[in-house]
Amino acid sequence: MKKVLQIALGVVAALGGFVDIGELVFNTQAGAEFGYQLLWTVPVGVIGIATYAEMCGRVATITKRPVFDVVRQRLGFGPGLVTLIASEAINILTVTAEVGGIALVMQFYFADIPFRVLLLIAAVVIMFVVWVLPFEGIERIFGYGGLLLIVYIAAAVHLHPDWGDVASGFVPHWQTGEDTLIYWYFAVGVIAAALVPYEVYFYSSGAVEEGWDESQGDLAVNKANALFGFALGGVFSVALIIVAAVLFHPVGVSPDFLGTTALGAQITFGQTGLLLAALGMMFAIGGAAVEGSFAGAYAFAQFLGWEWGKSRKAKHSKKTPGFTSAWMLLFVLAFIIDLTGANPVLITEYAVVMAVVALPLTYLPILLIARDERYMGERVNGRLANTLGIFYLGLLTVVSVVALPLLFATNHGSG
Amino acid sequence: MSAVGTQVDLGLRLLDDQLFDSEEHRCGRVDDVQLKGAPGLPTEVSALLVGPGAWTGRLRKPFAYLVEGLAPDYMHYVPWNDVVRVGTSVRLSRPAQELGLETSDGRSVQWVGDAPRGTIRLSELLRSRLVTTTRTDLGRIWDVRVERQTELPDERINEAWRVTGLVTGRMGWQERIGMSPEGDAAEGETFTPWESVQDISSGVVTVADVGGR
Repeated sequence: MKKVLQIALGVVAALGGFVDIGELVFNTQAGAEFGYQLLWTVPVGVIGIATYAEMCGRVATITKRPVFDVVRQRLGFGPGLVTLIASEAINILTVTAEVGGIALVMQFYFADIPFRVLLLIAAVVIMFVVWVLPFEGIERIFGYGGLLLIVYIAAAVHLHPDWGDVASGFVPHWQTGEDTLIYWYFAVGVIAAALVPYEVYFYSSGAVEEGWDESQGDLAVNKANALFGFALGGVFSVALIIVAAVLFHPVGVSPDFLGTTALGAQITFGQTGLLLAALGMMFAIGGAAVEGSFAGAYAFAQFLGWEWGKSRKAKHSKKTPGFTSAWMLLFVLAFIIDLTGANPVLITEYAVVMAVVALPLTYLPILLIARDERYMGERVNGRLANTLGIFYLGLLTVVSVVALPLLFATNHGSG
Repeated sequence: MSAVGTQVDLGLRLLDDQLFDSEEHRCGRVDDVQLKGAPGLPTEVSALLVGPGAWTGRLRKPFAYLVEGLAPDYMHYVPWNDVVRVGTSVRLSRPAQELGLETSDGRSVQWVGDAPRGTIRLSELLRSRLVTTTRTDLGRIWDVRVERQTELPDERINEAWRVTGLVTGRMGWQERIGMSPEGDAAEGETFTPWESVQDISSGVVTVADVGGR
């Protein structure tokens, strides 16, 4: 029973980690621009993140090595450093987008308060919560809160979409015509939003922090978290696309603001829908801000071999000075960038698309270690994990080459 | 099961590993490895080198100049007999402070620059090209293979790790990152025996011309 509860909590945490401002922005835009046509990209992204998250969790359980430890050890110092620099740049952009996103959500209800004050409140509250709460508390509070986004699943059903059209959206097709580049930009964006690297940095480091142990049955917990948590996250993504496809696509609304995503719940369920969506977004984006900042701190400390870990609690930060300073610095940098007036939604798009470029360098070492029998023993990758791992590595390599040209050629999807 | 085996490729299995001291405290990474010996003569692992002074030398030129100005001009030195175990990480026999790690009091340090006389740094070999005495280029050196002395190895270090050869060529890169299994310690496309090494200087390792090369 205890294990079932642990799995349930883990699934909720994985779900909370999956849905962030990237999902909210790209899925809503994809649905508004192309109706159901891009639904097929959701399972592509979900299977990819579930495959690699399961591998990361298994590697962490067996070898006690988190992702960036593996990155440096397998790629060597130079390529590892390039991966670190790219990842940190993406983490800063991600945390900037998430902190800005929280302020945007607060603006739904506190429009009279200057945006910069809301930014300050968002950054201070998140840092305070991270400082005070233990690792498990952070993971679960934001995970549970993010479940309020279930309002979008209810809205997707309530809006009575043509389920035949929805089903046909899951069949990949090759877009032609003048919207081709924009179509592929959003396809890359939805896949990339699911596979952003900070999720696996956080997930594997969390497994080491929580002391996952094969003898305690934690490999089953890992598998359940990766499969069901990210699959449920995929259901949320599909719901966002359906709501946008039904409400915004027919009238040609282009959702350039986070408020448009919230509008989907408000149109369907009135003020209650808006409140649930706003709170759900707040927790989901807040959780992602914490994960992004921790991912940056984990990567930095693990690359240099410093002591790290939130389970040693922030108030005992003397034991982890580098790690604690790193996550705080990330929040401060994010806050400063937000203060310049940069649009959080635009930053999200850049963060997600640029993250794709770092993905192959992050995922290759994980695949190599997970296939290494000397390290993994009988828990080495099976045929399915190897096949999916190699397939996604190839896919991500292609996507990493086309992502930035697509971003600029389509003027970040606005044509 | 041992994570290293009897034939150990130092780049793949030791370099860049996480260090834990005797109190399970993370205290750096294996930023370089010091070998004691000379080209072609018996050579073995003698110490681990830790800290920015050790890794700045592994950066490529423009980055190296940039970082060298900022990083300390020394590296910490952990004698091989203070290494207890090498598995998926490296375990040390004493607390980090006692070993001089995480301190700046000058204990157990080595200065940046040329390796001390009679020693070779692993990074020096890993950034070199392998050529024969008749100047035939055999490719980049991707890894350095050592041999453990015990028949049934575990992860404890209670023995010398002796250098047996260099891993090079196209397949060598795949071996270095663990994409293909490490080969046997036999001369072949990717392996050059250490006994044939004649000279190491400024990015070039010269080996004796063997028939067929």
